[in-house]
Amino acid sequence: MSIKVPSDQNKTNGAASEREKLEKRIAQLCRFIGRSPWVFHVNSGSCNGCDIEIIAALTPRYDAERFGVKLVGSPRHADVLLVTGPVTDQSLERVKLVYEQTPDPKIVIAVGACPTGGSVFYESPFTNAPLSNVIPVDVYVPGCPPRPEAILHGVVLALEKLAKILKGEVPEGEE
Amino acid sequence: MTEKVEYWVKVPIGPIHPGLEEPEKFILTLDGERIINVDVKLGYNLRGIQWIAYRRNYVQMMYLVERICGICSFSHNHTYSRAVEEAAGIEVPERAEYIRAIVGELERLHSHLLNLGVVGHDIGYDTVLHLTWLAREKVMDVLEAISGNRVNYSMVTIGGVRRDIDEKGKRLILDLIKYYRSIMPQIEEVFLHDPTIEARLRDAAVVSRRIAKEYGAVGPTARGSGLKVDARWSEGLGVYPDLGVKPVLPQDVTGEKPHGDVYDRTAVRIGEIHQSLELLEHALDQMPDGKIKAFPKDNVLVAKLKIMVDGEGVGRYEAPRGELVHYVRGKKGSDKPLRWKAREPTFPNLFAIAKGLVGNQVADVVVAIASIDPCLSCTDRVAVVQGGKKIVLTEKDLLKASIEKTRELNPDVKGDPTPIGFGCAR
Amino acid sequence: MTDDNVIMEKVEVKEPTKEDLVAEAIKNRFPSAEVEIKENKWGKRRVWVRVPREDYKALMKFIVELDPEAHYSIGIEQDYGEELGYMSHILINYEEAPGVSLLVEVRAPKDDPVIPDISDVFPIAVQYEREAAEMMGIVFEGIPDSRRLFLPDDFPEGIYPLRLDEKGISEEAVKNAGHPYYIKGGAKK
Repeated sequence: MSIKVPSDQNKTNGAASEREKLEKRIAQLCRFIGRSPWVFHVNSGSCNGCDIEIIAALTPRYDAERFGVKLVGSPRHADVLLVTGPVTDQSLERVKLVYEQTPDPKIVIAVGACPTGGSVFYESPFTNAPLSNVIPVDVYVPGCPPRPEAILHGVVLALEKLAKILKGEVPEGEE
Repeated sequence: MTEKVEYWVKVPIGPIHPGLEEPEKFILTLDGERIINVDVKLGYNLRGIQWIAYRRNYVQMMYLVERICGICSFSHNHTYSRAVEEAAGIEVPERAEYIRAIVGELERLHSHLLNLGVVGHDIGYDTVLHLTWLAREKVMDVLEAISGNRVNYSMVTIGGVRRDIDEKGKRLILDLIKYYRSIMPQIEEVFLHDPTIEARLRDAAVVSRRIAKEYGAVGPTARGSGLKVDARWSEGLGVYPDLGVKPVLPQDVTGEKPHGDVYDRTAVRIGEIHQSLELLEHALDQMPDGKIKAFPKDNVLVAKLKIMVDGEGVGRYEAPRGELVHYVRGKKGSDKPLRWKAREPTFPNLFAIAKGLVGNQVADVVVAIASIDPCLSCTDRVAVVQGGKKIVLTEKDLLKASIEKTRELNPDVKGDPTPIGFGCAR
Repeated sequence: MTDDNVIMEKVEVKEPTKEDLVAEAIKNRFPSAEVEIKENKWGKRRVWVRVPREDYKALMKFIVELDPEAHYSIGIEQDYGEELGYMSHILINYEEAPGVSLLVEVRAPKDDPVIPDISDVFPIAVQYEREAAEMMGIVFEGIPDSRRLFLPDDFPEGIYPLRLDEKGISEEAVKNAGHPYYIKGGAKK
């Protein structure tokens, strides 16, 4: 296939970029915990900007799939819940139901400015932002929409929290 | 001899479903595997935007309107600005019109590649999803170089555009055209000439010409059924007549009469990618020099609009999914619009495809919905979690932080950091 | 004198545009309708028609006679204070560029908000009428499907979110996600 990965091909200096440090950290945490997180994505009324950045984080440019992170079709298989959107009135029950169906231990990541504080929809009779009013949240990734690298950084923080829950300690970063 | 008992079953699909990006519920009435009736239930994305719009002034509305949809955010921005410009009688300089056309075509490219990937994923070809989204990254890079963000690039303002395209941007766009021309044969080979995909997509979810006309279908859904409708062409919008735009019909791409099925809609999208590349070339050639804003200073915009808007305005544009309509009504002396309403293109398409699914099998539902490309859906405020506590930063804090960072990076920066324009108008 | 020395006055004979023809046809057939053509700064002309309730359905049937491929774009419900209005945008004659953009408006007083339904002429109009009925409280007589479209089923009856008077959403029902300027109690103004 002659579709090449654009940019990222002119590595000018020898220092590791931020992205490479992120990737090494994810690999180290996955090895430490012993499994890769499986992700379920819940759309509670968002505009789809954050949703396409989540899927772009799994495509070959940013490639979270090489760490074993994959999107599953049922919340019962998932470790991590990614929630986008200001929680609209009609999605309220569904978000709570999906949260209860996910088995423990689980991490909830709120992606985007909407579940964090409502973004431009903060003052409406039909939305219930912030998400912490509905389900307990562990990690917030703000941005409108956040870049795929920022979502990966959120996944790193989630994995550190998961490591603390499962094994009681967090490994030091390798440098 | 037992009698055969037949009964119809009602099955809901959605709202949270792995095949769909958005929450919407389709209630199918089934007889075995065959679909008898489809009922669409909406409302999961209701955020109350028209209600919020009663409380925003003309400039704040631009940022609200951008976030109606993330994939076609430029189209909403553009259409809203056109509606306000018609109500106020503002004239837009010519270079700004060309830049609007260029960014609009770049957005169309990224949206069609996205949809081709989603259709591939829904019939089971995950590799196609990954490869088209990888090819799409080139457009995202160019958009980021021009406008600063990958999604929600707020390039358009009332009376012009906010940023210019310089020589470096032009070179990037010409590179992009060459790159896409070299990979389009591979995409066409996957979607148009592969016999397995053709057998799967041909005659699936047929929307006949009569149903498309009665239900007001727009965009590739209508053009795939043979209707010759395209808002850039039927409105005579901006500089598009000079660039030579025409509706792309399936017979231009496949050479056969249109059936109105998923294959035809995919063919229309591939034809539109080629048309967008040509339009980009023409626009870059013909773009004149000049100013890019009707009111060079931003902080006079609200004051001017207070006096100038008196009446109603309608804006129509062709988003990647179809015809987009915005309506604005304002009165002299108030800086808020009295009434605003938008109609996104997926709304009539959903009802047209609900009629088109009758008689198909359940397995075709997901690919049928993906083929119409459904897109149903105050950065003043940032919440930061530091050390387990939540702090809220307002606009003043962000401005202070960004000034400090600029000073750190370059101590001799000459810009003046006092904010022009207003902060939060309340 | 000979004809060569007579300078003919150039009389500009403007061909009637498509919009003029459509406006003429509507004015001749419906004398009670107010028809206006407005032109915006880049040369696009739109035909704005205001018609009383009694002639509304006949006007819609006439438009479909003018062009059987008429395309119904949007139905906008409005609150004018004493009256409620419903405006539709229809695109006709678009086989060659550009098409004619037609806006039809009909009004009804607030204590009798009944407007005839046009879904036998344009089947997609029933969805816009459902939205207008639940958001503004307009009653469309003869509508085949009067369920709610966007609002949840347990939303209280009698409250219309887009009305500007007492039947709209009260200040207490607005949920505020805690904007720092409005932390105390609901939204201002």
